Amino acid sequence: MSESVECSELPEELLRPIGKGLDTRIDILRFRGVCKSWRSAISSSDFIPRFPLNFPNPFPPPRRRRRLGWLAISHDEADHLHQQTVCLLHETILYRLTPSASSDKGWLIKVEDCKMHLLDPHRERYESESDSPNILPNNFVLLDYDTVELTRAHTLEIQSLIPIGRVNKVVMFNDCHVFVVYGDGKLGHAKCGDESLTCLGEKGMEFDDVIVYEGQVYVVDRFGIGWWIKINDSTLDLVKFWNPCGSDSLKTQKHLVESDGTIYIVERYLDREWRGRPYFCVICSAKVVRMFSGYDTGLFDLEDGTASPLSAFLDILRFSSHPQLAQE
Amino acid sequence: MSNQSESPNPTSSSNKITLKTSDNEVFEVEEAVAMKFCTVKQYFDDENNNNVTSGTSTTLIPLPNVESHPLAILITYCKKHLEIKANNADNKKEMEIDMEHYEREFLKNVMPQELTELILAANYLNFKEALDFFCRAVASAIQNKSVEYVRKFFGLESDFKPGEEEKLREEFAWSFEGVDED
Repeated sequence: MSESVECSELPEELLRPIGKGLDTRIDILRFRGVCKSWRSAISSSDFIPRFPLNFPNPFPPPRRRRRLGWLAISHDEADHLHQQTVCLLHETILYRLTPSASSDKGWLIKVEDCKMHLLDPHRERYESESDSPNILPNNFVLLDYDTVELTRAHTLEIQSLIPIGRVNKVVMFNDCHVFVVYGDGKLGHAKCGDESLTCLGEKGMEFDDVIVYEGQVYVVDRFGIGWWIKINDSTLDLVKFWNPCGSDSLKTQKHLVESDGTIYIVERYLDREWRGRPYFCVICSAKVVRMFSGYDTGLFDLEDGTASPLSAFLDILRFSSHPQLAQE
Repeated sequence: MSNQSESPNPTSSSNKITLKTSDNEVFEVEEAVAMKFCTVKQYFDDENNNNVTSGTSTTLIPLPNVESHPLAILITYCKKHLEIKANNADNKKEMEIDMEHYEREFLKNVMPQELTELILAANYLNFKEALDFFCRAVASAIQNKSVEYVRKFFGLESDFKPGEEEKLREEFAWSFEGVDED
């Protein structure tokens, strides 16, 4: 009945071990794109990353050994503790559900790793609690809703027995490249399968934020200079795309914010010591900036300079969220 | 008829086994080499059990699914494999390093198009180490290469219907981009 012609000389049982030798999901996808027999030889579900993923320790033991006197442990012990450090990469995706039938209200669905939570955007509270994820209310039919992916975010969970540094922001690009902005401003990068991170940028460069925007990765440094990370086959280049105009820009922390298809560099004035404290900002219209800082949520009107509580603006808000907020 | 794997030492006491390929070439190989090919070993064992009178093993083993070209390469690979193993009998680490070095050099002399027939031959002969090695070699050869490149590499043509292909590209647009130039 089916006139499937073997396009490959290699039988399926031999294609499978070849596919197993591929490292990245992208290579698997390409493998499956060659022809039908290759496609059926390996299933992509075996290779789609299952979050949380094991990730190389972003704080490997220092190559030149400094004294660890205050820890009162030997270097061997420190190495041993380093080896026990576990680092997991989590993924959170936020979808917006718009009802096809007009009268129903909209929802947000948050998929954390593989667990699904239903959110009521007007209450900003989990509708289904974490002890029963993946269970939707009885009368809830996903097919009745148009689903749009709003945003996805990645976080690193580091379980370490010895003090380590801080990670300010993590983004994952194409399921393959992971970029990490450290608390001290360094920018780290690892590809799927890498055993360690490499530092990007010239020595002394300090970065504040990184974002994936329209299929590209951008970073902003502490001077407010915006850089595009050009991903080549084996190298990464930083290409300058934005020069700041302000003069006292070092006093502010920079954030890259996407809103309505535009990318913004938002500057936050702060005491130096607060740098890196989670703070998120969503620009809802030209007028209003929504701010999260710690537990506080409010709205700031760019035109008249006033701040108001969130409830005053419910009708104009377009909802977005950031998973790190939930961690705070 | 060329005999590419003849031992340089005719007085060698080790037994010889004769293999005949599908294109009628005859290879005389040492027993130790032939025994790495599980298919040959099986045939050889069966034959010896059946033939009580055979004091001298002059068995000619036919290999109807293997051509002379891949067999010659496999025999070379197998000999070296055994040699490295014998040289480092008490040091596994050293053996692995030597083997890796040899395999790297080996691949320099293998055309990409030969890999398919080598895999098929190694599979038919049930020569596990070689099969693993060639599968790994193929995987690293197509790593970070475009689908088009892989098709050309293996002389394959897409059998997706135009609509399917388009959908595939849409779905995984990025997996067709950012690949090594070749």
